[in-house]
Amino acid sequence: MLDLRQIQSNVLRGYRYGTAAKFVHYTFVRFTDEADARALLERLLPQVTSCEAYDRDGGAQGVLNIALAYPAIDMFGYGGQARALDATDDEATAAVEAFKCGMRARAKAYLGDDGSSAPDRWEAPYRDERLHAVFAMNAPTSDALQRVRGSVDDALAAYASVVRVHDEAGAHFDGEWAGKEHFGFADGIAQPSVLDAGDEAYPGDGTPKKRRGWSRLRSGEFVLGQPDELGQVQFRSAFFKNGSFMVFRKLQQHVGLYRDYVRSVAERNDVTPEFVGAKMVGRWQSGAPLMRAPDEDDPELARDPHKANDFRYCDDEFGDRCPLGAHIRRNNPREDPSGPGVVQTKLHRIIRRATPYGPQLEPGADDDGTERGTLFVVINANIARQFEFVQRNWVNSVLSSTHLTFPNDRDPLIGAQHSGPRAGKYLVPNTSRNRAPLIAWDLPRFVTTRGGEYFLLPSLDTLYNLAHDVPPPPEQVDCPTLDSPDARPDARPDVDQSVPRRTSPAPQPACVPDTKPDQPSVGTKLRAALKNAFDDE
Amino acid sequence: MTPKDGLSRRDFGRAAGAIITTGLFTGCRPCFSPFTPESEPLHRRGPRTFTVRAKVSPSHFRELRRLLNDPTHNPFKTDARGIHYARFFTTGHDTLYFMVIYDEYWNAVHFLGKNAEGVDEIFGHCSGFPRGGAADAEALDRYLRDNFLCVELFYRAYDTRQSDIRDALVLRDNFLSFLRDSDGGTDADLRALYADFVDDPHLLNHDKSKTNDVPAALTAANRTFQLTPIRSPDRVGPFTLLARIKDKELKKVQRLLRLGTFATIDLGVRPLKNLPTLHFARVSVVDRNYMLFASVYDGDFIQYVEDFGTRIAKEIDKIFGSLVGYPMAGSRDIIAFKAFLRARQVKTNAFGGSYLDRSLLQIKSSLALSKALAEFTQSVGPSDRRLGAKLRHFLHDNQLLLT
Repeated sequence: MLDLRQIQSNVLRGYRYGTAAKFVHYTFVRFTDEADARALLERLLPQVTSCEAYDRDGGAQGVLNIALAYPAIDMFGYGGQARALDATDDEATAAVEAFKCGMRARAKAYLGDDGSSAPDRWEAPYRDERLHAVFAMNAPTSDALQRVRGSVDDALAAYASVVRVHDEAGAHFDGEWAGKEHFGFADGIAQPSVLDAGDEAYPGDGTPKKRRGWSRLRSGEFVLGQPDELGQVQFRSAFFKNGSFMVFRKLQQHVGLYRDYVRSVAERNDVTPEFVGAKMVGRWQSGAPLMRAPDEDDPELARDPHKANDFRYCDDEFGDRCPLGAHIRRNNPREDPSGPGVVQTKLHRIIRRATPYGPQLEPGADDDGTERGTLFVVINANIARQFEFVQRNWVNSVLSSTHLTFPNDRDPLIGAQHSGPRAGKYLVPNTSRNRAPLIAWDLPRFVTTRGGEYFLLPSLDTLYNLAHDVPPPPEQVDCPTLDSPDARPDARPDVDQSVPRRTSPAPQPACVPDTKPDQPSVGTKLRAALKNAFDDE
Repeated sequence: MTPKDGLSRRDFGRAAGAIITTGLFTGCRPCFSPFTPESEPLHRRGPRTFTVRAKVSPSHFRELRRLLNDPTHNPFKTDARGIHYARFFTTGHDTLYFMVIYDEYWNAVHFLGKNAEGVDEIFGHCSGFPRGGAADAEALDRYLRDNFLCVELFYRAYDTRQSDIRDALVLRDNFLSFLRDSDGGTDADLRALYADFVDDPHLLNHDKSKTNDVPAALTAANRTFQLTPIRSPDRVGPFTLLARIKDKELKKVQRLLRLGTFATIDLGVRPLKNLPTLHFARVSVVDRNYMLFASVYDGDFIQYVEDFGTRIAKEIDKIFGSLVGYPMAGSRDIIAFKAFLRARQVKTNAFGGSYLDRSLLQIKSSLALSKALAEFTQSVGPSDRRLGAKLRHFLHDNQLLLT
C-alpha cells in the first residue's frame, strides 16, 4: 500500500475528468539565499496537501503543492545525490539527466519544440534563467484559491531574497463548456489508474488484460521508489522515495486557425467540421470515443465514466473508425494491432492535468488575437521514458506503428508540424469505395509551446528534511539474492546513497540526444582510455 | 501492406519447404557468400552484404580514428549507385571493419574504385592494402576476397534494388503532390495534372517491358553518398555489437543463424518481419568465438530495443541467448537487455546510406504503391471517360499506402 500521507496530492488526486479543481494557480520563484529558501519551505510545509489530506475534504479547502527544479535541489546540496545515481542505474540516469538538464535544454531534440515553439521564442520567465520552484495551488472555488494564494503571498513577502518570477492562472470553463479545452473537446478522460492509490478505477484507465477487463498500472510508474511495470524499483533513496516528477508546459492554442482549417477541410470534402475534428482527435467534442460512437456524437455515452473510456483498437486495425494517426490513438495505443504492443504501451503512460488559460472564444466568433491555451502538467516517474518518449516517438514521429509510414505526418492536434514541402498531412480512411479517403493537406501547427520546466514533487518527509537541513537517514542496504531484480548495482553497499552534501562538481548531463546507441558506455570509455594510455607508451 | 487473411498457399508451400530443408540440411550449409554467382535465379536477387576486416598498421590507429571521427570528412564524393548502406568501425585498436550493403558485388567494387582518393586515405593505414589503391579494380577485388568475413546471418527486409527504392520514394512523393494539387479542382484540372503525372520518369522502372534507363539527374539517385553523424530521430541509424559466445554454444547458434539466412535469402520468408523498423541485420563470428552483430534500424534506440523485447523476443533470445552476460529473463527484461546491449556495443565511427531520411515502412509502402501505380497508369489514361471515379477507387483500395 502506498503511503498516502507522504505523497503530494498533485501526484495521485484530482486528475480525472470531472474531479479536477476548477481554479488553478502556479507561482514560480527563484531562490537566491539558501537559508531563506529553507525557511520559506518550513513556513509553508504545514499547508502542503498530501493525498491523505486531500481525501478528507476532496480538496475543497484548496490545495498547495511544492515542486522543485534541479537548480534548487542542487542549491540545497542534494545535486551530488542525484549524481550518485548516474553511474549505477541506467534507467534512473536517463530520468535524472532529463530533470537536471531541464525542459529548455531538451526541448528541441526531445520534445520537437522548433520554429514558433523554439525555446528562444518562449516567454522570458521560462527562457532566460532556470526556475527554482513552483507553488501549485488549486481549489474548486475562487474564494478557497484566494485563501491559499494569500498565505503563499504572505510567506513570499516575508523573504525578500526569494524572487517571485512569474504567475500563471487557469480556470476551467462553466456551463456547456465545463471540462472542455479551447478547441471544444472534453479533456482528460483517459487517465491511468494507479495500483494501491486508493481511488476508484474505471474501465479503460489501466492496461488492457488479455481478453477483457483492465488492470491498474503499478505505482512505480508515477511514484518514485515503488515497483514499476518493469518490476524494478527505481529511486529508492530516501530523498526521492514517494516523490514524483512533474512536467509543466504552457501551450498556446490557435483556436481561430484550428476552426478555419477544419472548416475548409470539411467544405472541400462535403462533411461537417465536427466530423473532421472528431477524426483528428479520436473523440467527439462531448468526449464520446469514435471507437464506440463512429457515426455521430453521443453525449449520453460520454457522461458514463464506465463506458466513455472502455474500448480497444483490436477490431479497427486499418483505422476505419478511429484513424490510425488520431490524437488519442497515438498517445495511448491501448491494445492496437497496428501499433506498439500492450507490453510497450504500459511503459509510456502519463497522468495529465490540463487547465485552460485565457478567455474562451465563442463558437463562430473570429479570432480576437488574445492568447489562450492550456497549462499542461504531466506526472510521471521517469521523464525520459514516459513524457519525452511519448512526445518524441508517438506525437512527433510514426515509428511505433506498422501502418503509418510518413514520419512527417505527426499528431494532427498537438504535433510540431513542419511547413513548406515537408508539411504533414492527415488521412482519414473511407469505408465506401465510391469516395476517396479524406486527406487534410498542409497541417498547420495548432499548438505552440510558450515555456515549461521539469520539477520534482518531493515527498512530505523530504520537504521537511530540506526545510530543516536534515540529511536523510543512511540507506538500509539489504542483501538481495543474485537473481532477484533487486540485485541492481545501485544497491551496492559501497555506494553511499545517503551522502547529502556536494563533494565534487556534478558532471554536465547530456542535453542533446544520443539518438543512436553509438555512445560507448562508461566501461567502454574507461577501457578505451586505459588502452589508449598503453598505446601511447 | 495489404490486409491478408490466414496463410496463403504460397506461404504454406514456403513453410513446408523450410521444414523439409531444415531436416535435410541443418548444419551442412556453408555461411552466406557475399559474391553473387553469375547464374543466380532472379527471385534470389536483392541487397547483399560484405564486411572487410583489415589489420591496422602499428602506430596508425590514432590517425585512422581521427579521420573516421571527423564529421567533415567524407571519403565518398560520387553518387552511390547500387549501394544501400555502408559503415566503418574499429575494434581492439588494431582492426578496421568496413561493412557495406549493395545490389551487385561489382557495384561495391566500382563504388570504392570511383572514390579511390578517400578510400585509399582510410585503407592506407591498414596492412596488406594494394599498392595501386582502390583504383586498381582487380587488386581491390583480390583484397576484398582475401579479407571478407563469413556472414552467418543476413536478414533483409526488402529484396529490391537501390535504384528502384529511390524511384519508388520519389514517385510516391510526386503522386501525393499530384493528389494535393488536384484536390477540390475541376475535371479538366484533374485530367491535365494526371497527364503530367503519367509522364513521370520514375514510373518507367516498374514497367518491365521498357528499359530501365532513367537518367540519374531525374531521380534522387544523383545525391552524394554522405557518411555523417546522425542526430535526428526520424532517421536511419546503425547498431553494432560485439560479444563473446558461450563455450559449446557456437555450433548451435551457427546452425540457427545459417538457417535464418537460408529462410531469408533462399525461401524469401521473413523471420523478423514483425519488426517494422529493422532494415538489415547481419551476424558474423570473429576471433573464433565472438559474435559481431550489425543492424540498420529506424529512429529511437529505446523504441528499437523495446521492439526487440515485445515483437521478436523469441528470435532475439534464441540468437543472443548464446552470448555471455545475456540477461536471464531475456529481452523481456527491457532494462537488463538495454544494459546488456549498451555494455557490448561498438561505436560505429562513420555511417552512410542512400535513404537515411526514410523509414522502412516508408520504403515498403512506396514500393507497393509504385507497383500499383504502374498497373493503374497503364490501364487508365488521361482521356479515360471515368478517370475521376477510377482514381477514387484506386485511392480507396490503396489508402493504407498513403497514411
